Amino acid sequence: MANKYVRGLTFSTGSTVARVSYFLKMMYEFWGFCVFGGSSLSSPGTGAFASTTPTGGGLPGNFLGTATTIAAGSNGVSLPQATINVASTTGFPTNGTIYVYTSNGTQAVTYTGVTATTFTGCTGGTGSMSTGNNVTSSSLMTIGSDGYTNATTEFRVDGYTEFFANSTTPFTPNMVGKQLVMWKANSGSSEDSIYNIIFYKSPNNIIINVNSGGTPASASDGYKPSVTTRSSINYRVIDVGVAGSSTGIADGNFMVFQLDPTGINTGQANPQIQVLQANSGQRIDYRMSPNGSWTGTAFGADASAVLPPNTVSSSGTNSNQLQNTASSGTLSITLIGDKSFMIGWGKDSAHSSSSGFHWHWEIPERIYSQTQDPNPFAVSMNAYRSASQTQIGSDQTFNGYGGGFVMRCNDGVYRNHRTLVRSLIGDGAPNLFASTVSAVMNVPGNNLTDIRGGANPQIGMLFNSYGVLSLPRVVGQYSLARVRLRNVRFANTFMQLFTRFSSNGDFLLLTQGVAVPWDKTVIPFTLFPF
Amino acid sequence: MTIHLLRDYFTQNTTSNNSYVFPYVLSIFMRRVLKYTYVGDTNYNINSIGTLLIATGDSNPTGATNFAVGTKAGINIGPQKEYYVTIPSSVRTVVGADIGRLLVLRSNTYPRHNSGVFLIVGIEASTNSYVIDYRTLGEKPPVEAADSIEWWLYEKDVNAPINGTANTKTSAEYRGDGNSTTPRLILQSPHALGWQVRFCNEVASDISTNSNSTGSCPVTTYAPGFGGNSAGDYPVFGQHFHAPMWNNSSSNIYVGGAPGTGFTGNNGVQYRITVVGDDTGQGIIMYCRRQFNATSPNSYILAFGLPENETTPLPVNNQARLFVIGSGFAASNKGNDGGFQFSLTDGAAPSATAGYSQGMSATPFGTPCACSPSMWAFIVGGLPGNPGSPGQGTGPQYDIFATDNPYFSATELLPIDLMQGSLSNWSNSSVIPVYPFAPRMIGTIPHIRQGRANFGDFSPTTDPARSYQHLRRGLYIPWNGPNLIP
Repeated sequence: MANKYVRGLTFSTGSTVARVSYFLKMMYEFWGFCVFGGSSLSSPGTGAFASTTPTGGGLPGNFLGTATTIAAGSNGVSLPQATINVASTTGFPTNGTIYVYTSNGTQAVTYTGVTATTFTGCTGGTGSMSTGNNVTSSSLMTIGSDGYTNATTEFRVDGYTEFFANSTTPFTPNMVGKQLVMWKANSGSSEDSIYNIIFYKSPNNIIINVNSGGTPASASDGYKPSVTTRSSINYRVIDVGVAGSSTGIADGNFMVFQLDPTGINTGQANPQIQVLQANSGQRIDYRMSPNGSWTGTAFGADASAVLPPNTVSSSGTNSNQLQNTASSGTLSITLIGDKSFMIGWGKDSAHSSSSGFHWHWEIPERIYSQTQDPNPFAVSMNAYRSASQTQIGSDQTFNGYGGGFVMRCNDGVYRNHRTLVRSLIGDGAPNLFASTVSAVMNVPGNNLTDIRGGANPQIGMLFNSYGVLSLPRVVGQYSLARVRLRNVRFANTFMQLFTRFSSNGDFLLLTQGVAVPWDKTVIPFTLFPF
Repeated sequence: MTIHLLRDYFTQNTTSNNSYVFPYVLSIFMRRVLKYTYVGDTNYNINSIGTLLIATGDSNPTGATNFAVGTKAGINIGPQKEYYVTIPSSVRTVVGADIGRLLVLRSNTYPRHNSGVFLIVGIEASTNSYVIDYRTLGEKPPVEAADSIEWWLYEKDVNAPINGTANTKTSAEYRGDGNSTTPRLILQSPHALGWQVRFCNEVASDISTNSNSTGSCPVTTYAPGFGGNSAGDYPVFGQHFHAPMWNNSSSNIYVGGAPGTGFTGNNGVQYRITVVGDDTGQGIIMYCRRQFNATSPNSYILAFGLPENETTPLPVNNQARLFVIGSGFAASNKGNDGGFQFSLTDGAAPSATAGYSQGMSATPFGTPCACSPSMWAFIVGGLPGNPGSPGQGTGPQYDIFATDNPYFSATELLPIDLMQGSLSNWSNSSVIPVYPFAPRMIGTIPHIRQGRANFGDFSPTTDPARSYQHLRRGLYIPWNGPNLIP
C-alpha cells in the first residue's frame, strides 16, 4: 500500500487551550479514513481500530464526528422546524449544533435536546429535508461520496486546487478555515489526505490547500503537490477546533489503533496501540498489544501497562507533550503512514520551545520467525524536546531514534531498544587512527558530520543505513539485532534540511540524520514551522 | 554452494620466513580443493609437478582436474588406522621423505572434515598410506573408501617460496612486478564472473617496516582483479586494486593499499591456519592464529572475493564488485588478531600505527578505494560498564552481559556488510586523500558473521552441528566440522 501523508498541516485551536485532543482528532481522521477508509462516511474503515468504533474509551461522538440521516417524519418538511426526525441521535451531544443537508444545501441548526430519534428545540436553517439526507454533528460539517478533482484546473495558483461535489451542494462559506478529509477506498493515492479549506466558490466548489497532501506533479512542474482527475471521492469536512475542544475529552479517553501486517511478516497478528489523553490534556499515554488482544473493553495479558512517552526535557521529569495553558495557538502536524505504520510530529506555536511530540509506530521486519518472536511491534512515543534540541533526534539512548523504541521482550517485559546502524568503518569506533581522527567518519545519524562521508558522487547516491533494534545490557534478554525498522533511514547531519533521497523508496532527511518515508513531493514550506 | 574447510593447519616453518606459509597453503587449497584455475606465476609454480607439487593422482594437474578410476585416495582405513590416507601405489609409493610434506585432500562427501591441507606426520608402507595430522580433538575422520578422495602431495611449508629481488624500476616505483624475481601467482575463481586474485611475496623495498616507513606493502599481499598475465602480474592502472602496483609507486601513502598478511619478525612462532572457501568461487576467509597466544597474538585475518547480497544496481565495472581485507603489517605488533573491528585491544583505542585491518576495493569508476567491514553499531552511545565505553566502539557485540538469544536459544549471528569509499587513505602518517570518499555498500562478506564477543574464543557454537566457530571479538566462521583443538 502506498504511503499517505499529511504534510505540515496547520490549524487553529480557536480560543481554547492547546490540548492533545486536537492531535488525536487528526490522527483519527488520518488513520480511520485517509489510510483505512472504506465506503462509510461516518465510520472509520475496517481494521483501522480495534473495535468497530473507537468510542469505547468514552470519546464523545462529537469528537469523532457523528452522522445520521433524516427520517421519514421530516421528509418534505422545510426548515426551520422545532423537531427534526432522524434515524438515530446516538453519539450526538444533548444540545448544540447540527448540520442538516436540505434542498438549499448544508444548513446549521441549533438544538436544545434530543430523544432517541429526534432533535428538539431546533432553530435555524432553510430548505426542504428529504429522507436519507445527511445530518452531522458540529465537528463534522458535511459528508459525501460525490467528490471529484480535475487535474486540468491545477496550478492556477500554486498550492491551491479545486474540490467539487458532483451531485450535491454541500459546501458553505463557513467551511473556510476548516478541514477537508478525502479518500477513496484502497486507492493507494497520496491525495487521500486532510486539507485546509481556503476559499468557498459555490455550494459545490471549494478551494483547498493541496500542499498537505496531493500527488507530486511531474518533474517539469517541480514535483509540486497537485491533484489528479478523480471522481466518486469520499469526503468529510471537519472542524478540528470544535472536535478538539469538545466537552468530554477527559483524561483516560482513548482510541485503540490497529495495524495491518499484511505483506510484512507472515502469520503476524494485527498489533494494537491504545492512545490515551493524559495529564490534563497535555500528554498522550499509550499501551501496546502486539497480539492485538483488545476485547472491546480490555486488553489481554500481552499488553503493556499504560506508558508515558519518552522524554528528553531538561528536567528529565516533565514528559508532557503540550502545555495546557489557556491560550490559543496554531498547531502543526505531520502524519505519514500506511496500514502498517504511522509517523507523526507536531507542535504548538504558542509554546514552541516547550511543547511538541513525535511518534513512530510500526510493524518492523522481523529477523526471527513468528514462532520465535511472535508479533514484533515497535513504538516510539516522545514528548517535546527542549528548545535547544531538534524536534526529532538520534542523539539520545532513551528517546527518539537513538533508543526510544519500545518492544515487548521474550520475558514479557516492555523495554526500550537501542537503534543500530551500519558503521562507516569497522565497528564504528570513533578513535581509529588517533592522530588523524578528523579524517574518519563514524556512523550515520547524529554522529555523521563529515561531509565527505555522506554522498557517493560517482553514483549520485546519498549514503544511508537501515536501522535495526537491539537490546543489550539485559541479562537473559540480549538481542544483537531483533528487528529491522522499515520506515526510517539514517544518513548524515550536514545535508540540507529536507533533502530527499532514494533508498528502496523515497526518504526525506529531517534532523540529526533521521529520514522518513516520503514521495517526490516538494512543498514550499517547512515541516517544522515553529 | 559447498563450503570446504582447511582446518587448523599447523605450520612447521619457525624461521623469519614463516609468513610465506600463509599464501602457500592458501593457494594450494584454492587451486586444488576449491578448483580455482591457474592464470600465471613467477617462481610460484603450484600448478605442475615439479618443485612444489610432488605427486598427485590427477592426470591433468595444470588444467581441469581429472582423476582416472583407481587414482584417488581413501581415509580412515580401519581400526588403529583412522588417520591414514591410503594412496594408490600405482600413482606413488609413500616414502619417509614425504613426512612433513603437505597432503591436499578434496572430499565431495565430507568437505568440512576430510577436505583440507594436512601435514604428513608418518607413513605406512604396507598400506601405502600417509598418517596425517587430522587436527581435531579426538574425533575420527568419516570413512571414505579407497579411490574416493582427490589428493595432491605438496612440498613442506618450510620450502614455500619466499620473496625475491626487485625489478629494475626506480625506487619510487612498485618493485614486485615485471622483471622482479619475487614469487607471485594469479588464480582465477570458478565463479561465472571469472575474477582473479594475485598472491605476491612482496620484495623488501616494498615491504613496510611500519606504517610510517617508505614501504607500502605487508609481507604477502592478495589482490583481486581481472586481466592478470602469465607472469602473475596485473597491468599498472589495470583492473585491480593493489594500490602500489596500480599507481606504480612505493610511496607510503599507499600503505594499506595492498592488504595482506604477515611480518618478518616472528622467529620461532608457529601458526594455525584455518580457511573457509566455497566451490562456487564466491570468497575466502583465512585466519592465521598464533600458537600459544590467544590473547595477544600477532595473528592475521584475510578475506577476499565477491561479496554476497550485493547491492543493486551493480556497478558496470566488475572490478568494483570485488574486495580484499587483510590485517597483516610488517612490523612487530602491527598485525592484529583477526577482529574486523578497529579497536583491537578490547575496545581501547588502537595505537596510532597498529591494530587495524586494511581493505581495498574499487569505485564504480574502477579506481582503487578503501574498503572496510561495516558492522552494526549503536547510532548513539556505547555500553555503560563495558571496557572502553562509551563510544560506538563498544558496540552491541561487545556486551559483557550478552548471552544466547532468548528467542531461539542460540548465539545470534549477522552478516557483515562491506563498505567502500569511507576512508581517504590507510596511512596515519598523512591525511592526504589518496582514495575518493564515495561511501557505498557493496554487499556482505562471504561466509563470516558478526555475533557476541563474549562467546568462547575459538569455540564452536553449541548447536549439535557446531554450525559456526567463534574466532575472537565477535567474528564467526562457518564450521560444521569436527571438534576443535583448544
